[in-house]
Amino acid sequence: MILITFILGFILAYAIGFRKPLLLVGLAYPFGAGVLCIGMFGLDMAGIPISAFSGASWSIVLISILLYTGRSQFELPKPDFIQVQLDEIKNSFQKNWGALPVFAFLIYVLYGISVKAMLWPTAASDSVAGYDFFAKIIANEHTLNNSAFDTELDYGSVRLTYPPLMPINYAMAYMSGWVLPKIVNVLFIISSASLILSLLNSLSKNWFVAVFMTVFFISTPEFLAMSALTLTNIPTSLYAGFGFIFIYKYFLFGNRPDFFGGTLLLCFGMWLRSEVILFALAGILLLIYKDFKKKSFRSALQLSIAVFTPYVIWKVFLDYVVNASHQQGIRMYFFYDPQKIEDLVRLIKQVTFSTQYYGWLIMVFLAFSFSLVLKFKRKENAILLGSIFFIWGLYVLLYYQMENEFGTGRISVPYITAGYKRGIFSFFPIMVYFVVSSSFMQFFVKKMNKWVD
Amino acid sequence: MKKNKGKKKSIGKRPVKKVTKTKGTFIFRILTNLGYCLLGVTLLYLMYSQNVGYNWLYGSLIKGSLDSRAQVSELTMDQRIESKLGFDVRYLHFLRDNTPEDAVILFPPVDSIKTKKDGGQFADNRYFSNKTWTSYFIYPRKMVYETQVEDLEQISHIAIMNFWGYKYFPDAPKESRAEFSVLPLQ
Repeated sequence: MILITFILGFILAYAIGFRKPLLLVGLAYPFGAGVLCIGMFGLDMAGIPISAFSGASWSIVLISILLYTGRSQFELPKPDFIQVQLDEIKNSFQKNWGALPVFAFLIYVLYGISVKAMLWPTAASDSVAGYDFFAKIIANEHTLNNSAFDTELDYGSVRLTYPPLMPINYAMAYMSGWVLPKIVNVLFIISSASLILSLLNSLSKNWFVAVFMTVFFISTPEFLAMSALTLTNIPTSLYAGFGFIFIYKYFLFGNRPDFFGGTLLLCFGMWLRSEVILFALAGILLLIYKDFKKKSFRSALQLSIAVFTPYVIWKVFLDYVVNASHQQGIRMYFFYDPQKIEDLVRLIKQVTFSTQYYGWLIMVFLAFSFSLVLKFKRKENAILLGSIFFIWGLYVLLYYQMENEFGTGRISVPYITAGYKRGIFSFFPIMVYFVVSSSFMQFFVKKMNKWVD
Repeated sequence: MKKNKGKKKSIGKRPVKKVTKTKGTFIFRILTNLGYCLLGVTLLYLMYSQNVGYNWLYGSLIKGSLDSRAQVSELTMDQRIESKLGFDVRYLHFLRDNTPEDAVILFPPVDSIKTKKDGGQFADNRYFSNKTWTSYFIYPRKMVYETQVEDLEQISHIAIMNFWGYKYFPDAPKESRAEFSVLPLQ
């Protein structure tokens, strides 16, 4: 089932127009998992049980439709395809064999974290009392309208009401015979590495820079540690972070595959965590800005529909199908509470600038942001940097507006030391992308490329 | 009219420059790549040695997982999770293995569960106060707290914890009472 999901996503990414092998590999599972989630939700609402069989049937039908409708786009590999690929690898290796030790280290790190993930069963409380438990119930009862929402059992866990992308994919892993569903998390971290490597290589045209920055991103201590747990933070970072990067790329270059890729990632992200809306909002604003002169806001409208529809559907499901609506307790009006602001700023500073949690990633990002202010000014860098700080600002505002500590109005410390701490993972792909795209880095990369050409 | 004799005009194509690889560029490329190797290894070493987060990640999390792989593989999945979460999960697995799937199990009030702090064996009664957390390990069996039950008809089993629960079995001989058990309610 996992393999079928991967193939489905791979073909979807190819049909959209992506052609780079690393990009296709990176998008395959996240796309497949998203399509599978939507399909299973729809089939369940139509009364068809969620099972490995229905999942496989849905995927195979979709694969067939994609292959049939997009047959004109699918070019058969030419006879010299393998030779061309081998020549490309050979050429690339001759130029960049210096990146091999770092690349080997990247493989070592990914292998090590995969072993850790696959060896240890779910122990994180958020998953035991949340995503993994919900997945077990789906796998056993074959429906989303299940005993998790039974008022007599009164589980009362907020995480059972989160959008179902992870539970459905975990359930698929269980129903396909996996003892642990962590293969899903392993695939998400490998996809993240593959995507960032491909994007950074396109950006820098330098394998050493791309591979090193991929290791730098993946090795963020808290980020990698969380990727071995059955939590949603790493997949959210992929859907939100890379989704925004693709929209930003579309904003710059106007390639439709980037737009569709970004829209799909952000849409699937909304089936995972509602906070992805913040990244989608920044994307929508970019698209409005791009099309402002043309006075045609079709792309912005398409993205808005793609991200708001899952939110509405899931809300309707919770409110009217299972009667399990959960109110996060967010004040919908602005207020001024100096004590809350002081507490929030203190905690956020403490977490954000912790090099123990995030290594040097945030520090390097800030240093490159500063270089932009100082000398190396470039409009597109400023727009990307502005977007990052805009989303970050909204994200912090969200925590300020939250009714914490059971109505006392004070900040709940775990909200920041656990929720915010893991939530900012979604910024990491964008931060690394910014660092490599910054004119300061490009200045050095061009010099380095001259040496090997 | 002048004619270009012997010269073909290429339309729409840029003249391709022939790149001649000299010995100098070859050596320069080797030196650059050696520089990449050195730079990569140095940066990774700096990350590992100068930052406590990377040090923990590479030295403990990744290396530790790979070193303990063979040892952990010998354990069953139940043993692995029990080694992490302790007696609490061991007891829940015991309940799971000794009750039918449709069992409805009565649990004691959370404050009567003795933790290590009170000289008991459970790590944390906070776990048992989270119904979703506890249910994960015994699913599809259902758990009910004593405080939620009005009549015992719906209950099929009693979770015996720290000798709590024998009040439902007053005839059970004292000498045969176990501290932890699960008993079917007739």
